[in-house]
Amino acid sequence: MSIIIFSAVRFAPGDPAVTRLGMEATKEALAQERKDMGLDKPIPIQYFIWVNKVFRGDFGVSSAYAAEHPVGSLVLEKFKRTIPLTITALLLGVILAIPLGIIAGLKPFSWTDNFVSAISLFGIAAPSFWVGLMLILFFAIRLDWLPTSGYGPIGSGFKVSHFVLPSIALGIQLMGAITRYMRSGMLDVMSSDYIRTAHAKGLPYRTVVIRHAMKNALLSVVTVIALDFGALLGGSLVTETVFRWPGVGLMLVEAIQARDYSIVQLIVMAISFVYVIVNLLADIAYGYLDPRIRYE
Amino acid sequence: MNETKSDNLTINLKRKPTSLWRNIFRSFIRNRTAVFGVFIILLFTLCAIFAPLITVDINPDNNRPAYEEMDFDSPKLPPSLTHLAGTDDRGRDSFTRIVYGGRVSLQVGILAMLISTFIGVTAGLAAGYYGKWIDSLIMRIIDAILAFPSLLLAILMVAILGPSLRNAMLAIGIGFIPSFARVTRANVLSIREKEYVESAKAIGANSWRIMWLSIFPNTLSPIIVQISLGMSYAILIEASLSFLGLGIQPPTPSWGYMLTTGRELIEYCWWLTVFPGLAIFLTVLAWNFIGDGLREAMDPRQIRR
Repeated sequence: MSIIIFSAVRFAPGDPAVTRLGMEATKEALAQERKDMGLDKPIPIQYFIWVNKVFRGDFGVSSAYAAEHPVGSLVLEKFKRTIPLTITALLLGVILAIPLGIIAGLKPFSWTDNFVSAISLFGIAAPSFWVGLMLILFFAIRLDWLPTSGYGPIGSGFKVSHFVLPSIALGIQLMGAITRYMRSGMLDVMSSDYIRTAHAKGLPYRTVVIRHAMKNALLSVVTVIALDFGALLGGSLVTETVFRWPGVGLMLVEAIQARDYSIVQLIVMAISFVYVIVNLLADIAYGYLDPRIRYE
Repeated sequence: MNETKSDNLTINLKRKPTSLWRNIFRSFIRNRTAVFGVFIILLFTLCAIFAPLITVDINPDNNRPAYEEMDFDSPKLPPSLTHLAGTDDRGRDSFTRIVYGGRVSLQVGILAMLISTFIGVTAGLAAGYYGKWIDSLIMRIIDAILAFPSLLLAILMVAILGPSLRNAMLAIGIGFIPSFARVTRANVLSIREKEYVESAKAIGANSWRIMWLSIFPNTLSPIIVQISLGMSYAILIEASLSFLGLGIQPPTPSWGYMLTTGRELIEYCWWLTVFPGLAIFLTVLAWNFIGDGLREAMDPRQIRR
């Protein structure tokens, strides 16, 4: 119960932003709609009016696509291609980062730790689109194992081989940040009293590390993953351009170039919405994972 | 162990007490990666400032700047001694363009950080010092900005304002206001209760004076760390923007846009994607090193290596 109330409060600050954003984008392209949306009304009312409109599927009219294609379904179609990409990248990043962070955190300042830190720094500092380009250069051109770009072979639908490189490029970026936090989380946890107790009562090292330390170190990582999800979404915009992946990112870039503001507006709102929701879920997960935390 | 301790003690007794900033500087230069970061940034900055001296100079025949100098006789050349990073499809020297591209990167980073530091710190000071409705108002605005992933916010602003260097700097700068405001506010909240602030109030200093002379100097160290980490993100975002064609417009070279060209020619000219990206990578890495080094040097709780 307390969690839900907190969530609602926590969620609120994001909403006026989404609304305001909608207004700004509209001001440029659709001055009339601005009036219709009633800017003179208080923000909560404005927000509900806007939400109401969105739920009725009214996203405005695209200038680039014909009127019979509603903007909403066009964007939704693209999201169906972007979401698998980001989820795979997220899983890849988490699956790589957690073991790496653990082994680095268990032996701080050893050569394993230095090696892991080097990898994670690479992930943080190398822009995901450049990593993508390097992957294309090596795996697609030098070795000719995987296709350079696109969603699938021309004429046919989706093919898994087209999926590999973009998700790796994105996953590496995320892996860097998560590894870092996992490592410092482990460092904190391993020096705590309950770990000493666990060792003292004669539990095997493995059990102490996995059951006691990892679980607690993961706590701090959950929030970080949610925050980095924003970077992941941003990165996917650029990475899609690199791989010509026909998802939301490529659509956004094309829409900007075509000055198609209703699409730009909708995509930006949708991505921000996903971002806020993910952070909300992280807060809920945080309370669930750590019973000590109670939202009042 | 005991001996060294007493040695230090005697030395310290003979000498004047060291200042906080000197201590920070000492522990910073002891950090090898941080010094390496400073070295790279200095190198790149000097290259950017003295770009005309280390690259091919302006062609006297047509007065074009060096980075625009096309040579259609030598397009798409791989790296060699005359063209350190090869040439692109129009025969422009890639090394020259990378060096000039560094100017853009540096400019965007510095100006974006100036914008966000100035606005963010002012907002954070006001929010933390006055509290009440001013605090809630400022923090709600900050939360609103935070609701967007920073790259997305930058893309959106540039999309609305139109792509240019100035708008890119503005967009990136605004995106980083929240982190400065939050860091400053959190510190002000604790400093506000300190005795020296109270004494400043007691002698009748006005709010403005207390904020900037009593509180602000004591929030400096987290802000400085934030600036160097912010530089790395600003450079990354600028590169992403210009890669998407939303940053500075050609013919002025920027690392991001060079990668766009490289993407088109990736099957023929590997050097056009490797080197500009390496420049971005090294700069971002260096700022990260500096930021981490500063944080370690300034945070007394950090474990010494």
